[in-house]
Formats: sequence, C-alpha cells, structure tokens
Amino acid sequence: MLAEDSALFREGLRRLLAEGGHDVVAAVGDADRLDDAVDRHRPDFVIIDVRMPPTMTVDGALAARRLRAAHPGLPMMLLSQHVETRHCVPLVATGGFGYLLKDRVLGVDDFLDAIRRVAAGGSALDPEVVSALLASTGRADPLAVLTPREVEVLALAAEGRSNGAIAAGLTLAERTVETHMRSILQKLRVPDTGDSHRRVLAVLAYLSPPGDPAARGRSG
Amino acid sequence: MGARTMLRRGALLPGLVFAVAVAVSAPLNPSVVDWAVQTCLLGVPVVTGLLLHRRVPGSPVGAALSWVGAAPAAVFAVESWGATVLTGGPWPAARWVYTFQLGAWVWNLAGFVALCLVFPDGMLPGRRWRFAVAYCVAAALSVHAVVSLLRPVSGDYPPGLRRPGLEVPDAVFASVAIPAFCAALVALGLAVGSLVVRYRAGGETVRTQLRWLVLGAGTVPVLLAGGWIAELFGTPVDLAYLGFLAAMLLAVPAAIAVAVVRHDLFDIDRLLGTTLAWIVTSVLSAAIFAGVVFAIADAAGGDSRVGLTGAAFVTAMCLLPLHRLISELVGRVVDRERTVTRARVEQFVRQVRGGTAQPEETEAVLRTVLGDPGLRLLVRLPGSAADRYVDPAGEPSQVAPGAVRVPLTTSGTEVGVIVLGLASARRLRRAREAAVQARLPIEVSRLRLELRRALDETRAGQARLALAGAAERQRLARDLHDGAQQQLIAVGMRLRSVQRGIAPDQPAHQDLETAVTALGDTVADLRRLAHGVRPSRLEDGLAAALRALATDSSVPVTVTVPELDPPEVVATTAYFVVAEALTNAMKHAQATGIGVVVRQQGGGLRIEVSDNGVGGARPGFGLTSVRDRVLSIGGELTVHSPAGGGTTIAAVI
Repeated sequence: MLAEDSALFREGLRRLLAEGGHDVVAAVGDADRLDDAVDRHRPDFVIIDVRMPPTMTVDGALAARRLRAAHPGLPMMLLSQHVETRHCVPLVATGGFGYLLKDRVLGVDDFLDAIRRVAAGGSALDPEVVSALLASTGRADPLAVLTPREVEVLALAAEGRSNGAIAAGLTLAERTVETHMRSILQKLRVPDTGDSHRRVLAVLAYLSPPGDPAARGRSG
Repeated sequence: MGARTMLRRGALLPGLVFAVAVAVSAPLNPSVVDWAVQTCLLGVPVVTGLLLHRRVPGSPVGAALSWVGAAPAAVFAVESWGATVLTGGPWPAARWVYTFQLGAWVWNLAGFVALCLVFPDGMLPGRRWRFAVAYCVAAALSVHAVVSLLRPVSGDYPPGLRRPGLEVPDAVFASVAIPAFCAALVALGLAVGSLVVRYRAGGETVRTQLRWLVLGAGTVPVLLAGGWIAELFGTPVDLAYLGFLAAMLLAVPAAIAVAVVRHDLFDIDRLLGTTLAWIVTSVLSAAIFAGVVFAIADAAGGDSRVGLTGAAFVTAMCLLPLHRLISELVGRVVDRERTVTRARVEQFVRQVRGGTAQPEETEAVLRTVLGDPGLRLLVRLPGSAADRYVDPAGEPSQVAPGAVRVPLTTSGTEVGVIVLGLASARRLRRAREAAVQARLPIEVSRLRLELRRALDETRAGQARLALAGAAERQRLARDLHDGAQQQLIAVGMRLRSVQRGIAPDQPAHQDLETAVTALGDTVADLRRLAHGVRPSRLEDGLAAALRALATDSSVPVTVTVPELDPPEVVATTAYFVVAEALTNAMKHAQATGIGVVVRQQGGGLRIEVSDNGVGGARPGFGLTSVRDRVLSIGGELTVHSPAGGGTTIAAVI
C-alpha cells in the first residue's frame, strides 16, 4: 500500500513496485485516509511519505506511529524529501521499519532490497537518517568514546547491513568487523546477543533520546 | 440656629454702633466737611465688613472688619460728647462722659486686634488663644480705667467743675499707666503673633490670604512714619496723616476683602514684593537725597541750589541699580517660593546642559519644585491628533477636558502641555513661569521621545521584514522539496521503468543509467540548496540541528543546548550563527576544541561559540553577513578575540 500525496511520484512508485514483482493494493493521497485503507485492505507492507496533507508537515510520520500501535507487526517504510527524525525515533528501534530519502528510489535494486529486508522484520535506514539520529541524541557526544573506524562500522550497522555487507563496504575482513562491533557494544555497554539485527536495535535504542520509554521498552 | 442668629446680630452690631456714633457726632463736629470726610473714611471698613459678611456669612472676619471702622467712630463720638463739657453748652452727663472718654481711645485698636485674631478663617489659631483674647480685653480695660480715672485733666477744663476720678500726682499716674500701656502693647504683639502662628501652620490658601493682609496692613506703619516725617517738616497735621488714615481705612479693608473673597486675584507675592521693594527704594532714595543735600550744604556753605541739583543727580544715578538690588533681596524674603522655584528650575536646566541630569526628569523636577505630585508633563509627537499626548515614557495619555493646563507652544503650534494636579491661579502662574524656564529640557525630551519612537518603528519594520524573509525562505524550501525535487524523482522513476524494458547491453540502457544518476545528483544538489535557504535539520528542533552541525565538524565540538522551541526566525538565525562560527573556527583559528552553549536569556536566546584557537579574529565576510542577520531581527552579535586567547562569538537574539 502507498501513501503519497504527489500523484506523479505515486504513479512512478506504483509502476516501479509492480515491475519489482510487488502488488500495490491501494494508494492514498493523505494521512487521514491511511488508517481506513489499512483496515480495509490489510496490506503486507506500507510505504508512507512523511510530508502529506492535511498539514503538509509530518503527518506521515504521525500516521506511521498510529499504525505501529494499531498493527504492531505491519512492516512499513517512510520516505522523505529530507531528514526529519523527531517523530520517527520511537519507530526506529522496533524492527520492520525503514526510513529512506526519496531519491533512494532511483537506485531501484537497493530500494527493493531494503523493502524486502524491512518486510522480513529487519530495518533499513538512510545513512543521513543515521547520522541525524546519532547527532540528535540528548547525550553529550556518546560517540566520543569510539574510534573513527568504529563510528563508520556502527553507522553501517545502523543502516541495517550485515557484518558481511559492512566488511565489503569498508574493504575489511568480516572478523575485523565483528571485533569492531564487539568493541562498540562493550564501549556503549550494550549486551551482545549475537544477532546482528538486534544489535542494531540495541545500539539505536541506546542512542535514542532519553525519556522516550517506547523505544527503550521495546528494545529490551 | 440660635448661634447663627446671634452671629448675624453680632455682625450687624458694628453697623448699628457706627450709625449711632455718626448721628451723635454730627451736631458736635465743628465742620460739616470734616464730619463728612471722617464718616466716609470710617464707613469704608464698616460697609466692606458688612458686604463681606453677606458674602461669607459664617465668618466673623466681616464683623471684625466692620469694627475697624465702627470702633473709632464710636470713640470719636464719645470724645466729642465729652468735649462738650469744655464748651458753653455741655451735653447731658458731659462730665461723666468726659472722664470716660479720656481712656476710650484704646478701643480704636479693638477692630484691628479682633481682625488679627480671627483672620482669615474665623477660628482662633488654637484653643489656648482664648486666654489671649481675654488678656487683650483685660489689657484694654485696664488702660481705659487707668487713663480715665487717674489722668490729670487738661488746662482748659472748667476749674469749678468737679470731675469723677482721683487727683494724683503725675509721677503716680505714670507709675500706674506705664505698666498698663506695656500690657496693651503686649496685647498688640499677641494679635500680630497670632498671624505669624497662623502663617507658619497654615496651608497655601491661608498663607496667600495672610500675604494680602500684610500688603494692606504693611502700608499703615510706613505711611504713619511718613506722616511723622511730614509733620516734622511742618506739614499741617491733617494733611500729614491723611495717607496713614487712607491706608488704614481704605487699604486694609480692601486687602482683607480681596483676601477673603478673591485671594487668587493677583499674584500677591509679586505684588507684595514689588510694593515693598518700591517703598524701601523710595525711603532709601529719600535718605540719599537728604544726606547729599546736607553734605553739600555743609561743604559748599549753604548754596541750596547746588545741594539740590547734586542730590537729585546722585539719587537719579542710584535709583535704578538700587531698585534692582532691593527687588532681588525683597523677592528672596517676601516672595521666597517663587524665587526658590526659579532657582531650582534654573539649576536643573544647567544640570541638563552639563549632562548631569536627564531631560526626562523634567516632570519629576516640576512636581517637586511646584509641590504638586499630581502634575503631569505631556508632549505631542509630530503628526498626531490635537488631543493625543504621550507621557515622558512614551505611553499615550489623556487630558481630562476640565483639567487645568499650561500649553507649551513652539512657533505657534502646541508641542505639549503641563497638566496641574492641584489647581489655583497662583499655581498656574508658577507653572507657566517654570514651563518657560524649562523649555530646553522639555523640548529635548520630546525630541528624544520622537527619535526613540522612530527607531522603534524602524526596528519593528526590520523585524517584520526578517520574519517575512524567514517565512518566504521556509516556503521556498518547501516548494523545492515538494515541487522540483519530487518531480525530478518522478521523472527518474519513469526513466528507470523505461530502462527495465531495455536489455542491459543496449547503449540506451547505459544512457538512461547516466541520466538517472545525473538526476539523482541534481536532487541531492537541490536538497543542499534548499538546506542553505532553510536548514531542513531545523525540522527536528534547534538542539538536534546544532548537534548535527557539530558532528559535521572536523574539530571536537561540545554542544550544550536545552530542548527549546524558539520561533522559526530565531532558530534559523541561531543555526547560521553557529554554522558560521564553527566554519570560522575550523578555517582560521587552528582550534582543537570548540564549545557551543545556547541558553535562554530574558525573552530571547543567547548563543555562545568559543574555541581555544589563536584568536585575533577580524570580522570577515562570513561574520558580517551573520551579524546582519542577527541585527535584522533586533539581536546583537559580539566577537571577543584577543590574540592568542581563543575566540568567543556571542549572539543574543
């Protein structure tokens, strides 16, 4: 299901998804109709534009939070023209959630790959979203304890990549990446469960602003 | 009721006494003309007193004033009656009346003393003054008794006629009479003292009224002295004392009447001051004249023409400067309040000129100097309606329609007004004088007010422009995001679609790949462009945006920002200040650490970016544009950058 106010973009996305083998059951143009449409069509996956009518600010993000509360297992992907994190932070750590800049759809294969990952309960975060999230933590530079290389690894891990993908991206051995990862979790005092996805969630939960129990509770 | 009726009767009594006295003395007076003149003169206070009583019925001042004329008339009648014993046809009981009239003259002063005791408000100055009244009556009675009973009869008294009373030697008479006279003098002193007591304790009105009395009564001793001098030089007695009589019987009643009914009629202080100054000047001039005449006569041996001419010349030379000097001295004593007021306003104007006082204090100074805490100084700003005034703080203020005011005009147009809290003709005169004196500070404060208002308007206009600019930038950024970027991506997706239909080995596939990549770059460029117009990071709040900025930096930055939600224009400006300061620190300062501190200060934000670099920063282009941004929304930007001591850029928005 699509929620996107620009008809041009909506149709382009619909065609792109169809060509990728997905079935678009419904497309709505504003945030208010999204809840109804989801109730009616029971989609497997929802793509939501952050900025939509009625207020043209962050209605999409708010609708996403409503949906996550109403349908906890429904995977969703937020698209945005630029990075806004304030309303997305509680969602980031819950799994089955993606947040990409709109222009990522032009890299069709990566985009479809991200959808698959999120649909499988994983996460897909835009590198810019990650850096914004890291910057917007309420703490006094929690990353100061990490080496530059560790920050790079953490950023890629936060995007939802596997250790193998990280190793390929940084031209490192996979074992080295694992070492870095352990070191990072140790330094940030996050328990290592061995599951790469849960690690990411834990890190992000750690980095999310304090005083947001939704993020903390679910990450545990 | 009874008291009122009695008062009315008491008030009419002197009129009755006067009428009887005049009627009695008419056939006794040797000359009809004398009798008429005397009756007219004495009638003035009597009639004035009766009129005054009609006008202010509750006050005994009218009655007291009537007694000023009625008492001498009665004394005169009694004296005339008694004097018939010396003539061929004595009136009945003339012997007794003669004895009685010997000491009756003391009652001539009764009216005057009564007037002093009750003027101007009809009450005694205090409860203890009842004893003073009793004392005065007792003193007068004792003088009367002593003189009537003991005084030796004059030579023309018919020798064979026995007179009531005692025959005592002159020495005995004197030893009894002198203490009695002294007691009477003390009574007179008490009367005058009551005026002094009243003046010191009295309010403004009482003081003004007393000044009128002083003006009227003050002429009496002066003219009396003049009469003595005239008599010395051989003027006939009637003529010599005419001025004195006129003063006593005309000037005093007139002054009393004015004081009670219309004490605000003239500026009594000035009148008093001027009168006194002229009297003193005249006396001194006369003394100089006489002195010079005697001196020259002594030196030149009796040539009176030389003496007179010289004396006239010297007196004329001295007259003007003497008068000026005396006027000032007298003003300081008699018209103290006005003199003090003038001096204090003058001092304030001098202080304003010297820069030790602010022209905005004018209102406060006028309030103090004029003793009117309700006084208001209002000015009109140019271009405002006729009745629109503002106070010294610039707040609009209204003038009640009935308020007593002094308009301040410059070349015919009204520029302001002084509204009096306590109104009287006298205060109005003082305020007018003060307004003329304080013209400079009033005008300066008005101009400063105008200037401040114009500046405020300019600043408000600037802030409005800045706000409009911020809104416009926000709209532009949104248009870029929602319009151009969105369209480009849609086109890109379309191209991707097309690309899928083309085999990867076809050249068109590669061309499309290049085109889509270029589109992607363009979208990224547009995002950066929109960010420059309005940082999209601000969507997440100022704190998040500043932390994001800090992570861009190659130098460690510690950011201390509370979570706050300032208005759009403030947030944008704060963001650019920090961005520019960080850029500068990285580019020029060779800093190894930068601190960003944002906190609420007053109604705005204080942003401080400090580094530990080399310092010595000069305001470059970057900072100039940031400074303009800050100034345009009414903020302030300061750069503190000693060489070698790091740089601190602080902005208050």
